[in-house]
Amino acid sequence: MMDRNEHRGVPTDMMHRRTRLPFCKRFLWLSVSVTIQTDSTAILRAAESVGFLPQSDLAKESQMCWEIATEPHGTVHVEAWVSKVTVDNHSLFLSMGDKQWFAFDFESGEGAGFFTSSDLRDSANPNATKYLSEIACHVGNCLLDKPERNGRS
Amino acid sequence: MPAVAFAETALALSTQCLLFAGKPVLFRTNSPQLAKYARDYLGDGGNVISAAPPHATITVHVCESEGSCESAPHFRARGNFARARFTLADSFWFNLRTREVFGTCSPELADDRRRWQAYIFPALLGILSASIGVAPVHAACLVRDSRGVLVAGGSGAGKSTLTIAMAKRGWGLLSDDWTYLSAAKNAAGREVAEAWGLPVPVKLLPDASIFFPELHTHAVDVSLNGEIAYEIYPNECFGVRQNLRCSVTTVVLLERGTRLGCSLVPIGHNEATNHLQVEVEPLEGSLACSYRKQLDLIRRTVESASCYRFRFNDHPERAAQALDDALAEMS
Repeated sequence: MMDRNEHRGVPTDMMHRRTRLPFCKRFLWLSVSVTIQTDSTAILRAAESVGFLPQSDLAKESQMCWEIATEPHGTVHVEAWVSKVTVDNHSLFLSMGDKQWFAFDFESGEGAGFFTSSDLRDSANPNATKYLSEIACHVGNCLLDKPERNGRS
Repeated sequence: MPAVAFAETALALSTQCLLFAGKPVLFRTNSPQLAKYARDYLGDGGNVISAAPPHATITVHVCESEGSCESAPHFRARGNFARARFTLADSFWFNLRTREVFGTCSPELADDRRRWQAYIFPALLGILSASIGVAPVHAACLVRDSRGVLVAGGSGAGKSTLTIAMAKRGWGLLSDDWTYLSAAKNAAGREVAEAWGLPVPVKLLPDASIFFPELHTHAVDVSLNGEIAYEIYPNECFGVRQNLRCSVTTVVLLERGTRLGCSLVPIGHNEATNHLQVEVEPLEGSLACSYRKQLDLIRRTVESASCYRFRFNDHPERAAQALDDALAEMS
C-alpha cells in the first residue's frame, strides 16, 4: 500500500513498515535463541517476565528474529481483548484486539507485529506482558506440537 | 480458549487461477459469489497456470463475523508480514516470503462487489506486488495502436481528468492512477516490460463535473482514503474503451503550467525514471531484493520509451487535444 505526501515523490510510510526499532535484546526461549527488536522497552521487560531468558552475546546470529513495533494510534484495555489464532502450513497469525497482531513464519523463524502503547517509556505495561504472553503461548504450542515446522529448532 | 482457524482446512469450495499483471495467482474461497467476483475482475489465468506455477495464493474464508461492514481501513506491515483490514468484518494476513494471503470476511462483505473491486482486490494485489515481481507505478496509462503512454504526475496534477479526456478522444484506457509493470518474454524470447491495469473505477474530484457533464447523473461518495469523489467505471459513464495491457512506448510527466496553454518537451530518461522510482515504497531486509527488482523494472521500462514533460494550463479537452496532436507528431 502506498500513499503520498503533499510533497510529490515522497512515499509516506502508510503501513508503518519503516518505523525505527532502536531497542534490541537477545533471549533464550524454549532452547531457541530469539532476538527481539522493538521501539518499546516495555516489550523487552515483558519478554523477561513471561520466561524469555536474556542473553548477553548479541554478536551471535539468533535462530529467530522478531520485530515488534508500537501501534501509535488508539488505546487498548488489556482485559478487553482476546486472541484469535490462524495457522497455515507456514505461518501463524495472531490477532490480539483491534490493532494488535503478531505473525510468525515456522520455516524462517521470523516474526513481526504491532502492539498498542501510548507511552514508549512505560516499562511496566500490562498490555505488553499480555501481548508477549499470548505470543509465547501460541507460537510455543505450535513449535512444541509440530517441531518439524521449525526448520531451525 | 481462543478461536483457532486453520487456513488449510478452510472450506475452499472454489480454487481458480487468476491473472494479475501477467502473474498467475491462485484464488481460493468458500464463497461462490466471491469466486465469481474474482473471476470477473481478473479473468481466467487457467491457460497460464499450466505453463507456470502460481506466483501467489490468496485464500478467503467467508464466515460469520461479529463486526459490521462499516469502513475501518487499517494497514500495517513489518518484515515479510502484513495485515490489512478494510471494515470491522474482515482481516487479511500476508506472508510475503511464502507469497500467501489468508483472509476472513463476513458473508455481507463477501457479497459487496463494489468494495472488492474498488478497494479490496487492488489493495491485496498491491501489497503482494513486490514479492511477485510486479512494480506498481503512480501513473495513468493510455493505449493506441498497441502503443502505451504512461502519464505520471503528482496528486492534483490533473492526471485522471486528462486521462478521461484522452480516452474520450479514442485512446484506450488502461489505468487512471496506478499502473502495474511486469516482465514478460516476447515472441523472440527476449524479456520485455509490460504495463497492466486493473478494472478499478476512476476517481474524479467533484469539480470534474464542470468538464464532464456525464457526471451529473452520478453522485459523489466517500472513497477509501476519505476523499469525496466520483468513483465511476469509465466504460459505463463515458463509453470509453478499456485495455488490460500494453507495451510502454512513451512516458509523459504532467506539470501544471502557470501560463495559459500547453507544451510538450522531451526530457531525459533519468528524470522520468527518478520520477517514477521515487514513489515506489522502499522495502528493507529480506524484501530489499524485491524492491531493487521493482526499481530495475521501472528503469528498463523508461529506457525503452520516449520521455516528455507536458506542461498545461487549459481546459482538459483542449489539453487532451494538444497532447494527442503532439504525440502523433512525435511518433
